Amino acid sequence: MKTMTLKLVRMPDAGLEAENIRPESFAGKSVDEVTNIELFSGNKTLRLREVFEVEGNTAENAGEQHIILEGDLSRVKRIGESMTCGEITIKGDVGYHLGENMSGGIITVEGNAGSWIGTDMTGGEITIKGNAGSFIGCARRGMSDGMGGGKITVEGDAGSEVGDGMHGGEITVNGNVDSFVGSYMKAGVIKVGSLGSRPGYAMMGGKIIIQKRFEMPFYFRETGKEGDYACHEGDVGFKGKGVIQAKE
Amino acid sequence: MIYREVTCPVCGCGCDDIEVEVEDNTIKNVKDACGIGKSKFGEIGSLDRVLKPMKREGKDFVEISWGEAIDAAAKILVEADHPLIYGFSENSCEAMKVGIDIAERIRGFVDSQSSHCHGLTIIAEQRTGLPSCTLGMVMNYADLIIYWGSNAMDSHPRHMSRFSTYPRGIYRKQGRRDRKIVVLDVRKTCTAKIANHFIQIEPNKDFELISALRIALDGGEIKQEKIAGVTWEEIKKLAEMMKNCEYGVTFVGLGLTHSAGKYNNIDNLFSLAKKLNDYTRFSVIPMRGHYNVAGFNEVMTWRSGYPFAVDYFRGYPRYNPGETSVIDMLARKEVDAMLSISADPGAHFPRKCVERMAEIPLISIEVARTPTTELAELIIPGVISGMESEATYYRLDNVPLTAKKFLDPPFTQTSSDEKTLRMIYNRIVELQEGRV
Repeated sequence: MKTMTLKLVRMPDAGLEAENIRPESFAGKSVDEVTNIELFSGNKTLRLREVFEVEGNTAENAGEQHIILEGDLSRVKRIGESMTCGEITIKGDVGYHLGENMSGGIITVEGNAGSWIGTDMTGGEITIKGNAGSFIGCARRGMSDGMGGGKITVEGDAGSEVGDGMHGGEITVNGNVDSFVGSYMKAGVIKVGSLGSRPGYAMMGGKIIIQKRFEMPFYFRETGKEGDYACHEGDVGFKGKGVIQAKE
Repeated sequence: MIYREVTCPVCGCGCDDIEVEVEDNTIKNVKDACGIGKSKFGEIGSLDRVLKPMKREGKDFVEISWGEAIDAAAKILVEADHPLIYGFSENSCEAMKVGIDIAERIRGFVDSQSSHCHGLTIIAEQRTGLPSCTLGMVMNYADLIIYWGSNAMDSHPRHMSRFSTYPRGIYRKQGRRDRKIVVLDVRKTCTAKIANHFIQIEPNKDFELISALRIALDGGEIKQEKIAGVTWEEIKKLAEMMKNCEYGVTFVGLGLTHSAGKYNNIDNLFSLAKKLNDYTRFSVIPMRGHYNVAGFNEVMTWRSGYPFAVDYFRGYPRYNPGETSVIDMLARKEVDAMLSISADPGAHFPRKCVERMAEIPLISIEVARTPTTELAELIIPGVISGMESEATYYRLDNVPLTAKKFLDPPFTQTSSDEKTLRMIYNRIVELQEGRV
């Protein structure tokens, strides 16, 4: 695995969009070519060297490329978008759309992450060691299908609408999630520590597992027990077959 | 001179039956308009009317020529890295088109009041679809009218008398007596006082009530005695009423979009209306606020494919409310220049957004002095669409109509906001092509 470290030295006022920070854009290029990669801020195009200090080597194949990002990247969006292989590690916070449309590879965030993580994702793995925003693994605006595969783990808390429209894959949030987890969910698994309100709205399939006692909304009917968990099926109003298991 | 069938450019009803008496280019009398409409017609003679372009110099404003103002506005927008064009809900569709052209040309982003109003309804529309109809259908066919989270008597004063409750229609010959009115709200509003049934909901519990209605429609039962403060018996009664009506319509207001659940409340309601169409004919119509706020969504959609909150930073349209919407962009300080037209964000936006507006060069195209013009770098006089210039506008049921002009603007340099924006657009093109 060849490692390249990018250290944030300047943050443009309008934030930064960095879908080109992904192993596929780095592999097979010289360090000079990497520093020339295009990033976007508002309607301006910047070069990577204008905002990052670069150190390390590039790999021949994207699968062997590891990118490490350092600094406060909470206003940097779209890192690892459409990534297919390789690895990205972010030593700090990161902004919106991390790993959107990702189909392979590994992303690890050591701080907190913004909203829309892993939107439309079909494979790969994202781990957030801190908290994350809303709309994790959800469908893009105007679309009905969210995450279709892969794995997202949040060790802290997350916002609302986690796994909206999800039809495959796995999301784990060890902490608390806000309202509307798994709305319009069709398949896949969401595991949460605890949750706010209104889980599984219009849920047609898939499974939500809650690690804490939770009073189920009336639009889920009780179907029995499985070990320590009480099982419920719904959304009854939509004749859905989604399952929510809550610890007793 | 008396002008008949004049349009009132205030709320989404777009009443087009107003009679206005004009003498020496001033309004002498207004007939048939509601209180809100009358005060808007009175605005024409307002002492606060902006008549000349002004530029900030220190704490004061100094008058400048139209040419200087157009040039200064174009320069601010061309030099910006992430400019915002905002407003339009009280403009004609023609002016909106030019505003969107400016945003595309300077690669900025464009949004309207719908972003923090019924934009949430539009997000739900995109997911579930909108089972809707026109107000003409309501007038002629509907026998069950539900106002949910909407106090039409105060927000759209002539809505009930012109379209939903009192008018006699082809199949509702007895008008009010042929219709049942149901109001669901958190308090007993003026609309609730004239309804046949009023159902008081606990605040932020609309979502649960809609879900319960869906179960009641299927003949299901639930364990709870009350949902959202409403008894299960009452919910079943309402479900039966909805199921057995001949033509039902729900008018949905901001009470649903701006309480807990946001667009999911609306999504749930649209799904319920779709289900009701298994039994009878049932529609939902959002109670749009400004007279052409629905028009912005229409124009934006045929220009870019998206209804609001569109960014052109990359030269092509992108859309993600919550990220590319006006409140979020301003709060995150991702705007470095702003053109506000026929809107008063200075009076309505959250403090954080207004603070950002005060930091950046702000161009304000306004009819009268407002809190926004006081923050502005540049003030350009606005023309009242639908009164001083002809306008195409969309009524709240998305029906396009034309508003007639019956007065001249109090200046000669421009005849409409469309023309003002066109002058700015042309100057932008000149600056970008180096033809200074």
